[in-house]
Amino acid sequence: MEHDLEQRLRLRSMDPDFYALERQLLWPRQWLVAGRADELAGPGHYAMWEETGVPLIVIRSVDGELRCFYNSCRHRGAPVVREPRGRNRALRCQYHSWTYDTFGRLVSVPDERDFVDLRFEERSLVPVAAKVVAGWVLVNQSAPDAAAPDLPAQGGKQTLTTLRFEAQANWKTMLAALDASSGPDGAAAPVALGWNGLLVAQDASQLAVTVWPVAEWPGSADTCSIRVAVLAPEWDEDDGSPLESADWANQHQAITAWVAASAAIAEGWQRELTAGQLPSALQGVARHRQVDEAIGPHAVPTAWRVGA
Amino acid sequence: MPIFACFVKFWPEAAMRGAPRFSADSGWWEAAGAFDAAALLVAATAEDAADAILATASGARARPVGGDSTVGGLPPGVAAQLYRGMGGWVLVGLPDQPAWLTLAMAFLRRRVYQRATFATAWHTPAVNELAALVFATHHADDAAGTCRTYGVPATHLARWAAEAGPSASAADIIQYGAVLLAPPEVTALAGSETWASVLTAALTPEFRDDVALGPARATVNN
Repeated sequence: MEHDLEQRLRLRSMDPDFYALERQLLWPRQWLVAGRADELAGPGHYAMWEETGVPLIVIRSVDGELRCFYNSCRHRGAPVVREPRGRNRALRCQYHSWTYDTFGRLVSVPDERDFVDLRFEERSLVPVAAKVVAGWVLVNQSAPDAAAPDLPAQGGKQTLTTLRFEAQANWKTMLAALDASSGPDGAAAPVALGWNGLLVAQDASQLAVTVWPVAEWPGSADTCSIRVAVLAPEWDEDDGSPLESADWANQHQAITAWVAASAAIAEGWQRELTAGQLPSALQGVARHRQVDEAIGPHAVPTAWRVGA
Repeated sequence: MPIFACFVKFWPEAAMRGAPRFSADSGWWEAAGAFDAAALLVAATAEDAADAILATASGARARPVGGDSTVGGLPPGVAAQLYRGMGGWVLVGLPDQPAWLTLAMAFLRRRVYQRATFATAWHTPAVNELAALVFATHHADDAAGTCRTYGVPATHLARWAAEAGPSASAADIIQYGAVLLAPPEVTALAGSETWASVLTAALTPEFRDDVALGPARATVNN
């Protein structure tokens, strides 16, 4: 491989400046898989979502639509929602009790007399584009007109639970490690789920795996988080949740072992990158070209650009 | 024992198809138009009347406690309003205009205060819809405590102090409610055959029989 190209591929998976470029120009412009619609089934169900470092809330409004907002009170910018998940027909900021309904509209301000000329209609939560495609919840911060990814429907499946892991590797390195594996059962090769995720079978379940650039705020080029949504065959509530079955313990263990093994591989590759080497598994350019295309080729500095 | 008039508004998704609505007749029953169902209940206190409402909605057994009432002493026709909070339910009394101002400013917003008085707030949909939203974001015991700190009579219904179970079942059905010591012209209906059926049936989620309330309405209109 050309030395210059090898150098670029290395840097793109470890350079803090390239990581910052991705945070600024890549992630905000993509339709990102934020979860499954069935996880927010009823009016008022909400979830925090911060995998790209930007705090968002996804909520099922009382009209049945899923909406997304920046998790930032319009008073002083404090987080309105602090629990990862919950259910309420209104969201109240804990600082000064500004309260918003499920449409993000400001509906209540205690001691309103203290706020001169406060116009409620100008202080709604700032919306973020959100849509549901084939049961997947997608959010897009700044390019809502962009084409949404073609995602596989999961008919007959229901979200059982979502697991979260972290790895000391760049998100692209981790994705490559997962992609090269054969899933928890060692039987099925993953298939693409959007551009930062994989779908892999485990027994009768499907695992929707997505890899994200921020494990913990503020994030870094050599860490990432991995979300695994377990999509199990639909079950009857009267039969009890599969989470309470003995099979789930085995399944959970297998998933954890698989992600841990993939993370160990990814972390080893990441150490090689830091040491000036480029593992053969990371020499593919397709994903890098995909990233450049999404950022906008002219926005990627020449020193990092991966040519067509 | 006193007789309480109890009113309940259901969430839209829980509302009974064909739920009877009171006609906007003049007089005291005009207020009932803001609600979906009503009943006269014999109870020792407003808290026990609220307990009966929640029990009926959730299918649990009513378990009156009796004793002293925190929101007691409200004169006939003055409401204690029932809202769901986090981990329970709150009963808030509005005995006078200063109490209403305090509640509106501490929890709600100026506009609702400007459009309703303490005598009308309990049956004003905009007030109750907003209060139901806001109280649901407060821990029920905290909200009751804050009200009392500001001199607004309020109580946290201890028996319904749970996030799950019957308390949550009732919360899926009831958007808000109101309890009033029935004024004499309504109390006069108590004991009649018509109201006997209302007492046991009016607040059950399965209640869809417009006929049961029809004669009652006719009786009132008469």
